[in-house]
Amino acid sequence: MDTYVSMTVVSESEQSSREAIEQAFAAIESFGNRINFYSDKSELAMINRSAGTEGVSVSTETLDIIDKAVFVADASSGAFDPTIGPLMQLWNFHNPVKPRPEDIKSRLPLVNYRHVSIDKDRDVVMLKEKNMLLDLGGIAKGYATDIAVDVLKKNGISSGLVAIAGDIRAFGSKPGGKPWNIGIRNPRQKNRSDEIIAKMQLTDKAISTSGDYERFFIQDGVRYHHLLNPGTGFPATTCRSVSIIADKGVFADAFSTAVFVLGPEKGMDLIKKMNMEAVIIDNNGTIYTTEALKGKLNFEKID
Amino acid sequence: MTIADRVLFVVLITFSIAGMVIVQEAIPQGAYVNIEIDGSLAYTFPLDIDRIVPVSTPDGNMIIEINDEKVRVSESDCPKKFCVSQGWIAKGAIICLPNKTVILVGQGMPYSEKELDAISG
Repeated sequence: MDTYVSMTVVSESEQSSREAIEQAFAAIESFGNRINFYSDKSELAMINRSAGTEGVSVSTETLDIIDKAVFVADASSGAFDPTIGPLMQLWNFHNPVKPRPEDIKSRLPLVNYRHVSIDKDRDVVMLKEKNMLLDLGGIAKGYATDIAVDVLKKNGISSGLVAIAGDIRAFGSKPGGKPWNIGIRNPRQKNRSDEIIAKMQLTDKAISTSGDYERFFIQDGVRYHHLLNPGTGFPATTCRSVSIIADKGVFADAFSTAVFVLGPEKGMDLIKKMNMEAVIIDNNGTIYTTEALKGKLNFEKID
Repeated sequence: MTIADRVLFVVLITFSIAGMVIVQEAIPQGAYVNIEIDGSLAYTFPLDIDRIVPVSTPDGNMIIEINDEKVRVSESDCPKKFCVSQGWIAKGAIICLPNKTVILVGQGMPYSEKELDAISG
């Protein structure tokens, strides 16, 4: 979770805001260490090393995020799958590497959230097949915003905004009772003036956006990005970006990935079923929104 | 509720989890000075234009001076003159409780008017 975090709180005391914010950062940091895919010492790494061998006893927090990840995987019929690790390993978006189709094919059977066993009584997680890899990259940032908001609230803060990269959770209101103003990034930004495609107000909700412009390379005119379809091992192709508004950051984050993979039609059906809100920009640039958002989004004029 | 209770702080910290670099900063020094009397905004001045502002409040009179991107209360007819003794400030607030006056610097436009608080994506 190598990313920028910002917290804004409204408080009567600068001292107590700083203390609350420091505690929230400490909580996110220790969470980040537990679920870091790249650190050998993380609980996640222990689970991955023990795949197919034994269960690993983990913290309640780690168990909870894995449990929620499996819930979203189940709700989206595997469009979001936290066991995507073996496929993610094949791709490199910094130094463009397009995996060989036969490598992808051989790893596809390892991607299956049904093979994650969670023992809630003993706080034990096990991956049933050898070489399975949990990767919580599609859900961890949203979960971390929830952790931060909980800590801020426990420290007496009644309104604030936590942003971890594009995962944002707002609670309470700004001075004067005003809602927080959030911009949704334009997935095909051309210059400095068209960074934002729409603006909206947010209070006591989380928003998360998954876009094909975050980590990608273009080869032979095709855009290869980090939002892989767990069923094919290749990047999902029907959307440019998906923003989900939910009560909790964890669900906004994971469902934005799920809907990106499902595409506008099936994605909208899922979001309605989950009682969430969505802004979907498909691969032609057409924008779809849920009914309740109509009239609440201010679209920017973009060529 | 005293006037001091109405002072709201917005604190922003940015850091990278992996790098564990912690950068702590208050909202950048603003270009405006807001003067609130008895809880409501009475004046907004740019911080970079020097001026002397006589302020009359229902409880007393003050003279507020803006100079070289700093602000101070140069005179006040309140009894203890804590506001005057605070001297020049370039950010933060000067509060005169007897005159129910708050002089806020460093937030520029009221924070609640800032166009976007965060960007998703």
